[in-house]
Amino acid sequence: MVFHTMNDPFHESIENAVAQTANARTAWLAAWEAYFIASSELERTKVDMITGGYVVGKNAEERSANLDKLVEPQAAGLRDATIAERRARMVLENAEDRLRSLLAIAAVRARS
Amino acid sequence: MQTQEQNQIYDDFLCGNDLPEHVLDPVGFRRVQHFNESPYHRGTVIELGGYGIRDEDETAPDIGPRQSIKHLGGRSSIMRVAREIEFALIGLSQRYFVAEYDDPADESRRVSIVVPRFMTPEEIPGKRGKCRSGVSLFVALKADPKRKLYELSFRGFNVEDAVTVVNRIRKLANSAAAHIMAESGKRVVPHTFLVWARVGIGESRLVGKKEQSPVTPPRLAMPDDINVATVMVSGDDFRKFVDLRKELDEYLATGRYSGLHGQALALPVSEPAPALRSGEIAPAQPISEPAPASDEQVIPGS
Repeated sequence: MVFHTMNDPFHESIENAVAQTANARTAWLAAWEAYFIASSELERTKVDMITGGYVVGKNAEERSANLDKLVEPQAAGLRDATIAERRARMVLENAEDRLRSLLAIAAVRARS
Repeated sequence: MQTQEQNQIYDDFLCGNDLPEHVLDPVGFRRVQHFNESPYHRGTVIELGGYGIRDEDETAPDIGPRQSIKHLGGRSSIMRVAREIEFALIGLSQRYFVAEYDDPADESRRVSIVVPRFMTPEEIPGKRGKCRSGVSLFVALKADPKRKLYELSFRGFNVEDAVTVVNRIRKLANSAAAHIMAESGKRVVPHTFLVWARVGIGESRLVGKKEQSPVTPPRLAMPDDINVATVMVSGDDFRKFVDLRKELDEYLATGRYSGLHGQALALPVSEPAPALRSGEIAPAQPISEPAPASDEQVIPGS
């Protein structure tokens, strides 16, 4: 097996990929937390709207539509948080793909 | 002609808070009154809608200039008025319904009570019976350094817009909580009084029979992408607001807005209803004589 030295550019790129993956994972966790909070807030607001008697309408469909209208700020927040979480996840997956590729190349090099 | 006039009165009733103070339900907290656009207010700051606080005794916080405001029916009040107000939202009532009718015992007297559900005119036990929904926001005004509780009520067509404003403030409070988490690592409950909310008025729309009566809904006068750090309340204010919230929870626990105790609203109540534990029944309010005036929570002039 061949071990690369610290000055080896390939070794450096693996280290960079590891650091980028760690950063992407931290960013994804923050985005997921924001998504989770936004999701909980939407549900909590819906419950408050219903129990507070703010949702009115002649039938279930009208009440449902009115509820959606009332919680629009929270729904918009959840939409934004969902998009941000998906983007953060994509960045993380890209970083993981790059790291896996480099490690695969390293393994091939090590065998040769 | 009479029908048209009645329709107009009914439209005003449905859409408006533009009623003289004596027919609005008096409460233990000083009131911030929301105004729809109205020809009654030509030449004033609230010509196109806005907010006002009665100020006959010159003790109202300075939210805007003092002006004489004419109400439906011809009476006038001296009020501090503004198109926008800035406040911390301490809490809000549930949605309630207010029924108004002529007192069968004395038809010159108008009765106004909170009822648990919508009532048709036929169900209301007096002449000229009307019912509309309402919601009350309890706020601490930025212009009032004493940080007292004020009640800001919205009626009829403005209720849903008011609740949407509340939900926008809730979203802003969540952003504030996230900001605190990012800055200090502390996780805080996203109380709505974490931020100063600036609330103005939207564009008027016409409602009612033949769509002749304008309503001017409340709107949050802050951009969605505002830097939340610029509108957060100070630590001292936050601690005061937590106490106000406790005070408010006790007040709301009396069931004032549930309509279950036949709470009469026709005469002034100078003091807040006594705080009761959840489950206790509120004692009947003496409605023949208003309670003695308190220094702190009095509707001036009432």
